[in-house]
Amino acid sequence: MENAIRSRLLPDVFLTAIKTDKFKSGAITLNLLRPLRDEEAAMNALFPVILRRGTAEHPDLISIAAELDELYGASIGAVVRKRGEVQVVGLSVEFNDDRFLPEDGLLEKICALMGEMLLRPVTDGDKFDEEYFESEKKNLIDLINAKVNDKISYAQSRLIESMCADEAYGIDKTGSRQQAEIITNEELYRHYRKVLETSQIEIIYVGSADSDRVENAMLNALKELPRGEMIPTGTSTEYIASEPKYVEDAMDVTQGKLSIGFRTGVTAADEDYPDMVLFNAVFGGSLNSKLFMNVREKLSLCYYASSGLEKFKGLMIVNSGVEFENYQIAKDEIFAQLEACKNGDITDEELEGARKYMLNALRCQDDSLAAQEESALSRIIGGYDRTAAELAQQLEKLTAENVVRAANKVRLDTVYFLKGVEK
Amino acid sequence: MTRIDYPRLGETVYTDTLENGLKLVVIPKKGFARADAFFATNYGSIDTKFFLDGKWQTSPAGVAHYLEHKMFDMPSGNALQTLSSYGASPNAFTSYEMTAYYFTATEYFDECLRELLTFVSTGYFTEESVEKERGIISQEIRMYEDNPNSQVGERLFEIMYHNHPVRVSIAGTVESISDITAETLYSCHRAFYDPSNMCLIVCGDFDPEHIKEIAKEVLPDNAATVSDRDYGEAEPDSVVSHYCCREMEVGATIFELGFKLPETTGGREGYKTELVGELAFQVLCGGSSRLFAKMYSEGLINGTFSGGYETIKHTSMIVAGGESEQPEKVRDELIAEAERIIAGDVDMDLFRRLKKASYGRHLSELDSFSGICYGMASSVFDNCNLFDFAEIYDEITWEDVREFLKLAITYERSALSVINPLKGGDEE
Repeated sequence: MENAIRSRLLPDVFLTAIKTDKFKSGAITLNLLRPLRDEEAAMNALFPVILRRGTAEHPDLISIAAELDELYGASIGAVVRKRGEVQVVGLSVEFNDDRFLPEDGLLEKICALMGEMLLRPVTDGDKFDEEYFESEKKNLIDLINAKVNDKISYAQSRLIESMCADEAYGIDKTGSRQQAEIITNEELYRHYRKVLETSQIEIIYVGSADSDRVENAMLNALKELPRGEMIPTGTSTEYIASEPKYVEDAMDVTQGKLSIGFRTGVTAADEDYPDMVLFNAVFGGSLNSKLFMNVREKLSLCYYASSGLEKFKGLMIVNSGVEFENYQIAKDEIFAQLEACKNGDITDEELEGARKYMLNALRCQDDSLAAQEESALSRIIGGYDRTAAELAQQLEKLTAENVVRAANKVRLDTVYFLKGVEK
Repeated sequence: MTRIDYPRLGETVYTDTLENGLKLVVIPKKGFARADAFFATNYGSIDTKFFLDGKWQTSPAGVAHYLEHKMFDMPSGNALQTLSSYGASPNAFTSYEMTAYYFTATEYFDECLRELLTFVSTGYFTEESVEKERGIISQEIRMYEDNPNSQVGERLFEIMYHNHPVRVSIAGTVESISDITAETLYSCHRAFYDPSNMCLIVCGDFDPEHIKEIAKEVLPDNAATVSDRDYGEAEPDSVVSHYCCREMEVGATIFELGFKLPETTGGREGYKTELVGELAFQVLCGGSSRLFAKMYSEGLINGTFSGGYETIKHTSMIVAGGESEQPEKVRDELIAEAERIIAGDVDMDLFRRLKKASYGRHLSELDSFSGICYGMASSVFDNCNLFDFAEIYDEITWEDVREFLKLAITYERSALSVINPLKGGDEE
């Protein structure tokens, strides 16, 4: 990532250009950073999909699709992400690199289309086109309703909702159904104009073009962008420690989904973050991990049992799918493995396996467009400079002691279990 | 090794067939830290009936997948952990037609490749370890049972096919795997895990000859015989039923719509049919089609709508699915649109644009190591070459697409699988 150049295009608008000629494609994301808040989360999730429906120059799906076909099947999508307590919304494009095409200038056309989509939607006076508004509002509500379809991610979002009930982090990335239902077209349009004016904007480019070329194309595309006083974003890592909470839901499922949330108190910006990364890999983040080796391989309790870190808020989440009657055994075993880490009961094999697993993952990062984009955005939002290569260097030096220290920082917060309905 | 250059794509491919019959493909990728090796056998969940030791044998549903889980066991330990201890990310999957073992590594690639070739060639199963795995696989099957997207697809194949083994789910059921023993796994391994039934795809910054040396060193010198398979009675054009429906804990109705089609020929001609089928799907209801825009605007479909053309031994199909409150109307719209396109004038501009877009998308897919490995292995088993798409696109005419639509998109060939939200109370 040494080849990344960050430049300021306009007030509070930045471009990070990562130059690489490894890929057949390039990617650009345009990200508006918003504080994650119940009153605006659903609106922030909604307006980008309306922007995707049509622009002044390309007023409907057909004309946008025709333009994208001419750009060799480039894709453009509305994106909503949650990174800590920051809601990141905007547009994402992927397109072929000029070098492999019989024509040039794709990048400029792509940037122009992005600018057009962001700034010149199809409007009806002081609101969005009524049909686009109504149909995308319905789609958003459907999307929120459909979250129950994937039981594994549903269990995890119910965990987060319960665990962070009094914190911004408890809000889902697309907001709540209640908030989505009450959005009016006029209000949404006003909000969208305000978001354009008051958001920090981060543009990330990964591809073979020089930073200057992207800068010019983007500046051209964003000429009409209104700028006002920026609303800052950030993530609170403070919380009040309390007794662990136990939450259960019953549903018509055949397998129980167990999701356990911990507070690590350590974010990617902290100096001892590498310790936490290595601990997580030893505990449940890799195929050599204690959870995989014991809960799955030794006890045959499940197909999956793993842990993952949330690096902006400082959380660790464990997920596993188990028979209803094995809930207690699985939970006890997960806690027993955590105790083992805390007590330094870690073999050389476990430590080295975890370390190598993480090093491999970090080294692969620059081989993927999406991973490079995500990593650049994360560093901006998380407010840290550490690159994947630097994290890898730090991991090389850590010992079992670092893992034990990290393990002892972890506090159980909430246990969530999705169980079956009694028939 | 034979070198083939694809200057338009900026790629070079080296291929060879070893004396033991293994098909080897190396795709050099300069400047990447990552390297992938993908070792696959032309054996999947549909290969349940085969000829071995002088007689026809029938194995229980889900055995190819069970075998995949147990393949990692070695007398010296577990290959998953051995590969992980080198820092590699190993994994495996079983599809209807293929079982594949692969890893991604940034160091110790030679050691990892040797381990991969060794463990997949070594059948080592004990009654105890086979028994132990049953709990894990049962939980995997339960996970699919709770996943509406898996369920809607499995139900679709059940109503589309009378005999074809694709109507049975890949992992089998908790019941069907209950009788699998070490003996079952040994026979399946013997029947299908011979180098002459396999391919090795390597993608990374390598000297192809070096990869070939390792493969020759680790694998047996000579080919054994590979079992014949039987896929049951020839599958008629008709479907079992045009419609099925069940209720599950879902937030919105989901559906999968299939149009049952004959098998493709394989080889370059078969690859062309695949690309024609994909293009026909794009013309009919792809993201830039007239119908997609119409259905999306009317709220009949949403952003989850997707699909394409798929081939499986002895059959092929157009499949489309997503969320919709009126799946039957989606089906009727597709059929009506196909009729309109077949009867209508040629929209050469649309056709040119869609070819351009499809070409661009195929080009983008070359950025994915795992995508290249899987695509290359499939094309090796189908006797064609993945990277030929650029040339084949030049040959495809509007008439090809029209003929395809005329054959494919009819009510007779259609089957629709629907999952509705629970109404509360009694299910089924």
